Amino acid sequence: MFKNIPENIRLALNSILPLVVVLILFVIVGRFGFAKISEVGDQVAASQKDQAVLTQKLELLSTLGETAAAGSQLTAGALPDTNPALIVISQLKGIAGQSGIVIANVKAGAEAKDSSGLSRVDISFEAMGSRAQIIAFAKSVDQIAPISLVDKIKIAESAGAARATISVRSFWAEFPTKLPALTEAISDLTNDERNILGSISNLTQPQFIEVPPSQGASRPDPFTQ
Amino acid sequence: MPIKLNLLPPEYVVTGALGKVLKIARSLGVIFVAAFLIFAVGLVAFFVISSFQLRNISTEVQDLKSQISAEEQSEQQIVLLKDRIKKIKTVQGLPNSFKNLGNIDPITSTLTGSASLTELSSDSTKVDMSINFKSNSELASFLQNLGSVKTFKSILMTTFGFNPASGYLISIRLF
Repeated sequence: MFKNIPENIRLALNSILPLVVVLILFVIVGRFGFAKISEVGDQVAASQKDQAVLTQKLELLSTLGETAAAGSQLTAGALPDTNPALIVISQLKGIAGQSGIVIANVKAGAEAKDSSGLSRVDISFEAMGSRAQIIAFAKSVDQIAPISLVDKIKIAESAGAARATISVRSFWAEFPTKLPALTEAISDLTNDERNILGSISNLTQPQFIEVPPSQGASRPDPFTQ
Repeated sequence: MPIKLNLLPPEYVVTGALGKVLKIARSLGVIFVAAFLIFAVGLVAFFVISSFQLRNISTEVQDLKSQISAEEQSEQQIVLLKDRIKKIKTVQGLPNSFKNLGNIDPITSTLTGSASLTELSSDSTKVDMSINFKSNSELASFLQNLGSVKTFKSILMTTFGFNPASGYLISIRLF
């Protein structure tokens, strides 16, 4: 096939062809090689990023562990995941006793969605005592857990005795059900969050009494007697 | 004196400019082959080193992941804590009567003697009070004190009544 090619052209081809082949190889190997290296480089960068995030996360989990354990209980008590009406009523009776007032006609409304997106229950009741005691009681409502807000208070005073109609709102919200992705960073508590946690820790927590199961009296066997 | 012989057949001889070009091409070919080999070896070496680096990092990442999985309870508590704090902050920002209840203290504490607070109503935006004074000196003293209250932006007297038997009855709205 190449026998008919003139000898000088064959010589020229012999000189130029290796150069052309090398240039083509440069292009092919370069493109393939750089693509592979870039791919591995991207994977290394992504893994390094994951490594940094995970290291920070692990460090935070170990340093924040104790705060989170105590704090999550406190905050879950302050904003529970179920309707806290009964606990709030119990707490209100507790602080009413401490304030020296009597509360009666306690009514809890139906569950409602608050404009804030949280679930809400309205509790209304009547309080009897002196004006100062009732105002002191109303002010102390923000010191109980679950968090409750005095919505309205109406006091009527006559001959030194006061009777108040008080409306209190309490809230709850479902607990989060999903954990963030393993490689997603978690941030430390901000100063603002720490301040809120500090204020929550000062709230009066509800006292739960666990009643132990009764042992039951031993029953005599009537057939052996 | 040495004699330069050219034994190539005439058809093999490439002379002139083409000869120079071919000579340069042959030299470049050799240089490019060498450069290509260095380039290829470099690429392979870089690829191998990067792969080793990736493998090491991946091993460390897996190790960290397993350690974090072991701390899942702490993570749940942190997630719960942050969620609750965020929502508690929302609740704390909601309108309520606490501020107004605190603000009326300087007013109600000035009620002395026979003056009585017949009605007090407070919500997040306003406080309504009805006060009965037996004497005008008590009323004057109260109004004077009311003027110095800085905790409310506005104080509106909604009613003012007098009854010889019960005295002065005023209603004020503070907001």
